Amino acid sequence: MTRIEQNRVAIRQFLEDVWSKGNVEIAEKIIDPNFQFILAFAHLDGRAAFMGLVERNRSIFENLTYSVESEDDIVADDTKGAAFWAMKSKHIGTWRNVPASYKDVAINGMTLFRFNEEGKIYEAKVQNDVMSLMSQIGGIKKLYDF
Amino acid sequence: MSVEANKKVVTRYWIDFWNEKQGNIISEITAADLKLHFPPGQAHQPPSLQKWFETALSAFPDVHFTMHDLIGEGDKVVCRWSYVATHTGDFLGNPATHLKVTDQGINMFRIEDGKIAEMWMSGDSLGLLHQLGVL
Repeated sequence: MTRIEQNRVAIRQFLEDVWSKGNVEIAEKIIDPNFQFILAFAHLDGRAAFMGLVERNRSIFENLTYSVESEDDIVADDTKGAAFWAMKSKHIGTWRNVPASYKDVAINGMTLFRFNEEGKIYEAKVQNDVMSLMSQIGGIKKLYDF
Repeated sequence: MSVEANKKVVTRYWIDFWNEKQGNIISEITAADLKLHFPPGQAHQPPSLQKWFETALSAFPDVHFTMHDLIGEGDKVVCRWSYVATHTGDFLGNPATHLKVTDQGINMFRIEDGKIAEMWMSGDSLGLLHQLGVL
């Protein structure tokens, strides 16, 4: 497998095995211990902190599933890669101060990954449709219509 | 087209089109039937790039993008970006707030015959609405 092919596999595993199944063994194989997980509203420092988030979110969001519909939705080179993904779940616990809504939720987003020389993911920057997720779980109130 | 040529057309999209406001290059860098995909949570869902450009020029005329990452493979290019802009004109029915705002995001582009044929956008709408005082 070329480095690009390896990176594409790791991106899919990150979403479909680590996030969707909570697979710790695969996480340790593909993610660097000093991994940085960065969103517009949060920053997790280290693989252990990130795995804590995965575990928490998997208990707040029932059957949390991240999927990449097609190989066309992954773009990679030797050191970086990105994926357009879909998330599906049911909101059953308090998330960012919003109590369980028991609503089915679905959003899309994109994540940009950086790989170190060993081919492990050392950074992921996420851009997701949190506005839509907040609307789906009733967690947002607009002060005026915008 | 090579990956490098594809990256070049995406760079022109950000720098020449958006930063230098070269509205006349739309037909040079994008396909006539350019397909835009916006996340449902994004308030602004412009029907075309032309309309988008016109709205931006009147609502956020000083919008300036920075390209942080550019990845190319096959017919796709991904760019991680951010912008700063000042809200000095009507936007989505709301008058100018004169607030300086910033946004960040990741876009995926599909290039066909040297032009952008399809674009998927993901920005920080929640952060932007916070800055504009909507939330």
